[in-house]
Amino acid sequence: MPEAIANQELAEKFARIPPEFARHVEVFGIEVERFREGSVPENVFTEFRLRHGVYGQRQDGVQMVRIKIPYGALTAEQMETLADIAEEIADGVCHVTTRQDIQLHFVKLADTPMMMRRLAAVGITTKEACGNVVRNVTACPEAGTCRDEAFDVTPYAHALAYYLLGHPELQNFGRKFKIAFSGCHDKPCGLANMHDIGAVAVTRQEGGVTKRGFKLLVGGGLGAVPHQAKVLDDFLPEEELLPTAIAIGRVFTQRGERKLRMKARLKFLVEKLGIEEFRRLVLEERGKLEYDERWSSYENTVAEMTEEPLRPASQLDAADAPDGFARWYQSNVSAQKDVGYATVQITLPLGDITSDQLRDLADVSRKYVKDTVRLTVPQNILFRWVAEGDLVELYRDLQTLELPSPNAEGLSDVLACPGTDSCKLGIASSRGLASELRDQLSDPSFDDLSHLSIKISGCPNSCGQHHIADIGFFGSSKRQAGHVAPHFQVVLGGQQAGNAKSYGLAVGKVPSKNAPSFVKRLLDEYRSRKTDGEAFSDFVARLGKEQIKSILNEYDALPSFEERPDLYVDWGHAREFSLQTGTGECAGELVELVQFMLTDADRWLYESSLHLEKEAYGQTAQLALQAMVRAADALLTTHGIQPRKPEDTLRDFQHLFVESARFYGPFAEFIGKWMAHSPSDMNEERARFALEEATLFVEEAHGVYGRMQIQEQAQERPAPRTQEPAPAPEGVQEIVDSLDLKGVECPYNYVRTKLRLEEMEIGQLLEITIDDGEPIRNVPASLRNDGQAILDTKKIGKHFRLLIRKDA
Amino acid sequence: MDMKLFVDDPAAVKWSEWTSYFTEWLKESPDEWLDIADYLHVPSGPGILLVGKRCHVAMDNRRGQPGMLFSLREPFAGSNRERIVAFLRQLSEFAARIERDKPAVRFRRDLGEFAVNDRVGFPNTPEAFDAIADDLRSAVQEAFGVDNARLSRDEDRRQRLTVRVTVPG
Repeated sequence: MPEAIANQELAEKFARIPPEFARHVEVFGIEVERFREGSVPENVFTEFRLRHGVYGQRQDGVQMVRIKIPYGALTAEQMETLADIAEEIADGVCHVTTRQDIQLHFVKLADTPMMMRRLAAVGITTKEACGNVVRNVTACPEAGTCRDEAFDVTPYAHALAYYLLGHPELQNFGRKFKIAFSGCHDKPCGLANMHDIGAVAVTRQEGGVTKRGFKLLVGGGLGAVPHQAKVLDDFLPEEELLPTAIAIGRVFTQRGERKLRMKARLKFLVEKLGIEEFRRLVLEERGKLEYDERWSSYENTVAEMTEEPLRPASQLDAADAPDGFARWYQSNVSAQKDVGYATVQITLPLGDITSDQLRDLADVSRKYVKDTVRLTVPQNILFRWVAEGDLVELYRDLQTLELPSPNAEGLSDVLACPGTDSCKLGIASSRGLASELRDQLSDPSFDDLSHLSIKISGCPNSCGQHHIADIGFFGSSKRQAGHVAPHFQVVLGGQQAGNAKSYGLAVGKVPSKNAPSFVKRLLDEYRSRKTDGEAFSDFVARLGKEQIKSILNEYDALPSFEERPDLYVDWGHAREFSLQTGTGECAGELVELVQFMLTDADRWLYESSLHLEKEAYGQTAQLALQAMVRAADALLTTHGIQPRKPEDTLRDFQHLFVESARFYGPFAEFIGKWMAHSPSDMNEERARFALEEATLFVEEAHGVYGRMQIQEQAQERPAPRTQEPAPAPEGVQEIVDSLDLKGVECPYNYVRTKLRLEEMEIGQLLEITIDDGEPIRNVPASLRNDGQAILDTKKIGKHFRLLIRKDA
Repeated sequence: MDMKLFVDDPAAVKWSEWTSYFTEWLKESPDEWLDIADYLHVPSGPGILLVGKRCHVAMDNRRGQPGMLFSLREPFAGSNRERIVAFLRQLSEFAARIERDKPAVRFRRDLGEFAVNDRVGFPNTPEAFDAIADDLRSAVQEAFGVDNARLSRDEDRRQRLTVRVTVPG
């Protein structure tokens, strides 16, 4: 970042960045610098940058930046900032994603710290936009204006998004985690059924009072193996929303798969445990949570978040409307529940808008609405609270910006993931096909079919939501005589309505270049053979796979390269197609919490050294101590001990690492020594000592962790088999070890038991002593769930002694 | 920094040809160029963009004005003036190559648009313009052999520091 900021306006904005956002930006900048110097391992930095929204593109050396826009809500000032940044450091285009984010492409890593600072200055963060964390919280873009909603979900989405941002309990997931809000059951806007958590607004009467709550769905998701969500709770009271989300996160952290990435999403855990057991575990975790005033403090803001119109309500007068207005009005305008107001969708081709357009659109928004703009899941922009009498004038303004396209969310408003344009996982060009279909289906002759949807993913992972489209495609390929042709698998009959209530079925694949002809043929078939009011999904079901296949067969043949070389070139390309997939980063790098925390410690040492240079000795020592505490906490997580107060750290660290001589004693003393010092009595010499000793401490912590990994690998390595495994011992068996877990809370008692069992042989016995109450309810059940046998349980005073045999 | 050279005759730009044209550049120098981004679906957008490691070259259509946009992503070394000279020379080479390969496309040499991609360090103010004007004028003279270039700042405060470079008759 430049030392001097010549732009006075920006300098003033930077000075107003909230401290928490400012710290995100500062930490990111430091870590980028340290990575460039080679001080941070690549896998740790990859997950770190992902958690800050910076994603490696298919093309080497450039990044995609995903910018979180909670529930898609944007102000005019934010729109201008996004436009400016896209122009300066990307390719001049902002891309709206299916999670109501904004993505920029072809960004250099060196440009990202200043970009984050500028975003922070208008209240935007990229933190946790990618990686194995809670992603952008989405919500129905019409929330608060919709005629069908139970209530406005906006304040709840807002509260949950910011409560979960950086929440310490949710930093150690095996995979990403997605949350969506919907105001009603029947419409598709929220897509609650395809989320890890889907919250659908519901109300009920309690003692004559209308009580707000949510039907809470869990374990939904698309991906290569789509799952419909299960109902966790038919009516979760509003005040339970935040703590329940944390409880679900805890269960996911504790029980979710961590080694098999393909099985690590919450949907697989819910499937494995069953919804009843999952619910029981969530309730159990909920019961353990200590009260947090933020669970309910946001309720005071619910009324404050009500939006206001800019202009008085009025009626539409389309007498002087320009050509095209009627068609646009039909498809892009919806009446609000408030009489005299409408919402207006601005159709973006493939979700793209140029910097010039977005900047001008910010001005247009100021003219008609009061910062009530939202990005939509179908990759468009929604103006809310437009006075109906302004619609014609607004349409004219959109014509000036070249944004008057009709058919929002309709047949030609094809939704596509980035595919081979930028994603490492892309197989075929989803955007290329989407662009072609958009061109071919924009004609008014298709308006009778505008209720149908087409969605395209570049690979089976479903970022383009092909499972919930009437006509879905996902990228594939076919090889013939040494040449490879891009293809698309066809998925038909998915339903967005009812919050994505059912998924389509794959029926076969066609060469990519044949896909538009196949679509038009299928549409003709639907148009001519559908019964009155028959939905496309019903039509597909009625036709059956055999008849669909016969239509597909007209387009699925792949002639040789010599006969049809055009079929071997993808949309938007000029060269022969080749498969160039890499390792995707959507799954993030699975970096253990301990590695992250050790990296934090390294960063604090670095910051400490910067303060020493500036002769800020108190801060030097404070950061040095912070680094030591963080490193000790990091090691303690390997024993299932979560960071608490520094004095707890010192005690547990002493017990588990110093007394057992796993950590070099003389270095271990530094942490206690510097805890006893006051930062106010620091001079240069003492501060230097603090930094040097902290450096030794943190280095030793890295060494201890490294040795632990070597031991783990040695244990995992199968021993050479010289004979058949011994049968399980019979009769009296020796108890290998006993653990005294009195006073140890859940889940740490369970984690420590599990860790000890991992060191033992199958069939060996372990004795543990745990407390009454939650521990005796939870620990045996969890161990049984892991496949271990509880041979005996004895009550001894206020405690229980369990005899466990390692069976798994 | 960016500079755009506008085409003489917009009708000469056959948009559908530019992907295959830039594919040739990509094949020739795979270490320099990364990929081609097709933005023809965006009206008045970036057109067809050849994405590179150090710079991008596009047949650009922003504000509906077709032209070659040269966008430097990693600055050249040296003083501000030296950097601009190196930038303009590179721009000139690319423009000459396109004109050689596509004789129907001619770029105007009497008008160009120069922009600084850094609103933080170079806001669109008269002061920032004054700070770069001499270097830009002198660089234009050295790179293009033009000693009467006129510089005028785009006064829309929302824009980057953008300078129209015109060369009279």
